[in-house]
Amino acid sequence: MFTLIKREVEDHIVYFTAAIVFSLVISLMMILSSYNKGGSEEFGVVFSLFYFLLSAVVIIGLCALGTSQMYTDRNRKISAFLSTLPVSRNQILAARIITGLLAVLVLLAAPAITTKILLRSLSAEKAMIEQLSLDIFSMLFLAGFGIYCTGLMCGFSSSKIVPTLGSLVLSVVLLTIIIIKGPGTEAGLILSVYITSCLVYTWRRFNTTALI
Amino acid sequence: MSEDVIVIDGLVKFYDGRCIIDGIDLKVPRGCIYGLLGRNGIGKTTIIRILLGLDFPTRGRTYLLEQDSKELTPKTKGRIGYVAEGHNMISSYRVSRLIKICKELSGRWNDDFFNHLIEIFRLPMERLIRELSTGMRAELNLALSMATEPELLILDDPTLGLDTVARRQFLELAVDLLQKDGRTILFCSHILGDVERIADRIGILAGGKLAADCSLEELKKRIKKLRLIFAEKAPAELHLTEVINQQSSGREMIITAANMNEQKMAVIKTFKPESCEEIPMSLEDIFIECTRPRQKQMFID
Repeated sequence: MFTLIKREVEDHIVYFTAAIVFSLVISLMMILSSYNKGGSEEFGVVFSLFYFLLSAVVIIGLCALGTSQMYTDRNRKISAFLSTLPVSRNQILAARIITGLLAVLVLLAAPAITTKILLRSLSAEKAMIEQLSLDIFSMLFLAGFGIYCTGLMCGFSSSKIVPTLGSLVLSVVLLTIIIIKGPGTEAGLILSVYITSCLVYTWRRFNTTALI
Repeated sequence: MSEDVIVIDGLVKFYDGRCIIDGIDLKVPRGCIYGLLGRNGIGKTTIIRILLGLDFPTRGRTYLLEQDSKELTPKTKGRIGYVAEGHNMISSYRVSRLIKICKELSGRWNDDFFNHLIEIFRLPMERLIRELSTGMRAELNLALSMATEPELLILDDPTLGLDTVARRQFLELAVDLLQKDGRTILFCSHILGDVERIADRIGILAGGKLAADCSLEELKKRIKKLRLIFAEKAPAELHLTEVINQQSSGREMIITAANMNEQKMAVIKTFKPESCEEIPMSLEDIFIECTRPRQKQMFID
């Protein structure tokens, strides 16, 4: 299993490098924002825009990771080859999903640590903010993983339009629902159901499709 | 331990509404080198892919090493070696990386043997798979599948794209290495000479069915081609059972039939042919007769 996960990470090292870079950039922006409390309005607008762009890139990146894993698999006949080795289809898919989880964790690790450190400087309402940030990070983790799962689900298609547009449209719909609901148990539940559905669908298709 | 390493039971496969495999039953015993023959696109690769669990049957079941192909465990897969048609390995990988992955994923790996093969083949370790020639890819594929010391080796047209010398070398090495321990080999090809050289049992796939399934000697013994010359026009009413092909031209009639025996000869004699001679048949002739389109299907086993 470790070999399969290592293979997936090495094959998608660009995504992991990008995740580390984005993670550090987000952390840096969080630190800069914390020093700009009560600062100029322009500064806030620029920051918001930058956050928005960054989020869009992260969404596309996570989606692309899932799509790329499944799409290149079919194109390069990777699973067809691996399946002839002492490996089951379930193991191949599980390694792929674990890789996706790792990518989301890598992306969120630095911002989560930065938040923890920044929260130490707060004195008032610390417990409440800590709970809120925990909710936000849980939701970000689920949303990130959900977007990755969307890419994974749409990527296992012989068409090029379905994986690209399908995954992006689904990701946007998913995020809109989450933004409307806000972080919390309900959003978490929606995301969990969505992730489970995506994974079950992908697992079923991956196990019942001929590997050409 | 069962005697049959490969079992195919009533296999049917449809592709896009077209029946490719139409109810095949086959058993390959342990230690047998089985040559599966058939024209291009007749379903040889499909059978292999179903056997390995890469594709699924429309109906019927297949078993490898006593395990249903749909549920092959990694442990069972570790006992099977597979050399794929076209040698499709992960083309974007370097040779060294692919070897490393295969080694790590395989439960059994004979390093000395593998290194010995790599030395023989002189494979460039740092080259990308897609940059290798067809011959090199065939050699790498064979080396990878044999390093695990498989009980069962499935070779799907492994010599496709190789020149005559490379093909001969490849086959000699494969047979020499694998026959030693009495391993079972399923060898699929449309190159009859290759199959004739190595197989102890032959299966001929035609029209979605297994038209023949017996040893090579038996196949040659059972299928006879006769040239009959009659005093006048060849009789249209001469009908034998198990006829593979029958052609008449003027006084001459050529009949290819299976299981030619005294009764059949007696039937022929009633039409009083002036002469009756047997035309010797090579495997190639038998194959052409068995796979002739729109022929009257008959089965030998």
